Amino acid sequence: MSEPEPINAAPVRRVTTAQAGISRELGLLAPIAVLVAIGVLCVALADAAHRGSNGPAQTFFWIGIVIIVLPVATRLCSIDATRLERVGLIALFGLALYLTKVTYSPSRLPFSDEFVEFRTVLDILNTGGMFHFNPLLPVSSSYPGLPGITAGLVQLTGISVSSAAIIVIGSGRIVLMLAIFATVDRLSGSPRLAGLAACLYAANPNFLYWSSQFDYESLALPLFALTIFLVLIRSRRRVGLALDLLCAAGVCAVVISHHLTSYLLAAVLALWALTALWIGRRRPRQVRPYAPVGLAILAVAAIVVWLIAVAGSTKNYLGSIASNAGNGLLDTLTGHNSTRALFTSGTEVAPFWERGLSVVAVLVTLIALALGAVVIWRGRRERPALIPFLLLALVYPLLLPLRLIGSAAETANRSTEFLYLGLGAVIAAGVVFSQPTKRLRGAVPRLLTGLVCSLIIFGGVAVSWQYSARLPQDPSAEEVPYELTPQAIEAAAWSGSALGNGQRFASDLISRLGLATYGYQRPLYAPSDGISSWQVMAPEEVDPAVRQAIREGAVRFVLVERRLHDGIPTSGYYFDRGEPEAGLYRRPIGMRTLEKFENQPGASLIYDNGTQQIFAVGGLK
Amino acid sequence: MSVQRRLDSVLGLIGAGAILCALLVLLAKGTAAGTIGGVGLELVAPGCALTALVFSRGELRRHEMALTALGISLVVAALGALLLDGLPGSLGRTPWTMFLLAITFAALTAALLLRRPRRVPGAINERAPLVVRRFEDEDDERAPSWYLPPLMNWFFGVVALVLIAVAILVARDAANESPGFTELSALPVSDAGGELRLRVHVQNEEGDSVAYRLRIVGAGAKPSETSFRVSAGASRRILSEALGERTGRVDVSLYRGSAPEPFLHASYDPSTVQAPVAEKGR
Repeated sequence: MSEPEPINAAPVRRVTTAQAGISRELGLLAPIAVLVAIGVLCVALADAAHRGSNGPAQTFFWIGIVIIVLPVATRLCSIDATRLERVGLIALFGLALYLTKVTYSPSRLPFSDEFVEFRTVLDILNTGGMFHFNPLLPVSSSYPGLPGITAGLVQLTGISVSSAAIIVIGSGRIVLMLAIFATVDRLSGSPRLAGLAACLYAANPNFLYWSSQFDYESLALPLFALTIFLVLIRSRRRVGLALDLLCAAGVCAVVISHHLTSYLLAAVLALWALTALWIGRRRPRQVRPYAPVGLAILAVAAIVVWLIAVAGSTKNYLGSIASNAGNGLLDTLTGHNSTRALFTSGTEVAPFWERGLSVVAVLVTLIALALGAVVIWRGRRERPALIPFLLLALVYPLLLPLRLIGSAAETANRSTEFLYLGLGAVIAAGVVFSQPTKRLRGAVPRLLTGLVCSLIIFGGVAVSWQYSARLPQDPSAEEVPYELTPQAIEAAAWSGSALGNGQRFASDLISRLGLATYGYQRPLYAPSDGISSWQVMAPEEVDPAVRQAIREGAVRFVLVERRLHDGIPTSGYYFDRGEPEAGLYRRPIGMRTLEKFENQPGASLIYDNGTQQIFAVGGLK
Repeated sequence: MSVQRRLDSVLGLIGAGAILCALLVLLAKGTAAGTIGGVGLELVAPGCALTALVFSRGELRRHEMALTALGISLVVAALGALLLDGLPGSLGRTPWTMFLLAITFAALTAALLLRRPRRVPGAINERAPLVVRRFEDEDDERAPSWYLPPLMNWFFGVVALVLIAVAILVARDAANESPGFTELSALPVSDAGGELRLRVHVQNEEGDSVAYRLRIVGAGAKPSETSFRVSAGASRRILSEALGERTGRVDVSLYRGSAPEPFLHASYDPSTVQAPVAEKGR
């Protein structure tokens, strides 16, 4: 990138700390913070109401979200907020939406993916070392960035793993929001654009829950954004060995934290380096732009070394995801598979108004994207560094059709975490700097632009998490569980204390999470054991096939969750993605299936709490 | 105060803070102070020290310094965990504390030795954005039309914090509420004389004192029945009669008070594994 020429800015009223004090710079931050806190309280009340099956919990949830989003988005659209106020609003906004996940379950990790890292942290704490086999997802233990930091915090403070996880992911959330703001601010020279870009990043459907959970990607993404910012600062220096080392450390931290994020970082650095070298050749008489060649090479080398030395299972893991998505795409294109119904998750369909909101939000996003693309393209000579954001944003409409393909929808959904890094900035440019909006002056148009930004974010919230699981489950409700109940945790903990750790268990999908963590057991993991839980659990009788599965899987215990009979999981399967009836269940699994081990010669019912039963099945071989 | 002296005082402050945090970690683990110390030592101190070392030329704005302090601390902790894993002594509390202190003080010492003036005359303006021309109506430092006096800012800030605390407490209380339940378990054990018995364990999590009746069929010549009361949160252990040479099934039923039907069951089949042995690793 070339050295910037002097900026031709119009003189305006300037405020400094010496002249007016920090209070003036903060603007309306404090009263908006009160509004946002009220919004968080509304969401917490919604969570509490849903746990007790009381009142209109979903209505409370949405009221809370509106109170959090609307004031912040509207104020960020305003011209007269200072940079400090915008920074404060962005940090506040990111944390408030993070707190909506924390209030879901403040004292326990509620989501299934969180248990994967939970188990890795337990492995580190119990053994004092890394890289142990993780029976929930073996590939995750090859990326010890997040569990390493969390285990360190547990060791230093003595707090629980879930409390440490909340602190670490919360820190990552602040880093992510500030890094987006600071990067766009540096590249555009517009704090307003930067603030809105960071705010609109929250419109990605994964922001509310997925990126807030205790998962390796939730840390890698902030580290990615931080590294890009550090490289950007490095590009402003002629020499900077210490900063080079810091950038290299950032690259390495991303590589050991998450596979896909590290590949994206390597790609971004390589593209940056190639573009800078190309520009430098075309303009030999000017100061050559900084090309992060060394960092790009380091990123690629670190990824390769890590794959060879530590994370060899990544190839199979990502390969299976990519081949599933590819096959699904091919089958749909050739007519072998029908298209996926939108706004459905397993057996559940989102309410009509949420579906409408999502469609409107996507349409508004596409319109704002078009307007923003025009703004950025027209200003490409004045603000060339925004072009990469535009290129990233333009991938978004291309991936929208993938949501109609069952096996590729997940890939399209997950990619939004990265796409919105560009999309947020382009939409923001469209919302505040396009010709139609520039003509609008005054408070009402400002409110309207705030409403448009809020609408885009509401659309992201509406498709963030399936409708029923967006709020926590009532543990006494007679329905199939989608999170671990206190009984399930007690049953898992009992297994650890009474049977010893590391016992081979067969169980349903949710119970295995508790067994692997609270019980520190070894639930079946089909890819490495060759036997799936459904082979033991799904048949209606203890037939020879079940005995063979128990024998070959070296299964010693079975945990039966009796509430499976109360409904069909929204995921469409009870035990394992590969079970024969997955996605085809029309009625709940029968009690005959759940009770098949009772009074069975060779099986002992050794634990019962009313909903969970543990059988010793060593005699069934 | 000169730039150099201000830098020195900032470095001193970071060093003193790191030592205080380390002391809290070592002396007050498990308390609120220890938690603050641990968070400060792992997630703040190394990043502050490295930010002071690398960005001593005043090229970063305040929020950018906050970003690098927090972000670099995460980077140091992630790489540090990997480094400690490769060193003898494991990932315990003392190695962590020593490592984080060492990084912090190494960076502070380097910053002291390499300290430079904030701006090099004639150097490029490192705080300037990478643009040739700004968007219309845009400026770095604009005076807000609306702002509050300092006292009101403090007031609203405290109110917001209180509301957040209330929200978390409300959610936590709701999450900790659980429907009452009882746990029944039955495992074979060898008594002091080497005889095999069934150890029955009843744990009351109903939230209230409950009268139970336990019936064991199959162990001994005739069914045995025991009534007892267990207070909330407490448990009761009962050893069955010796199973002897009997090879049949033993059934355990737990009744609530005088209810005719049992509500929990357990059973023991001698052909199942009798003494579970922990299986480590894969």
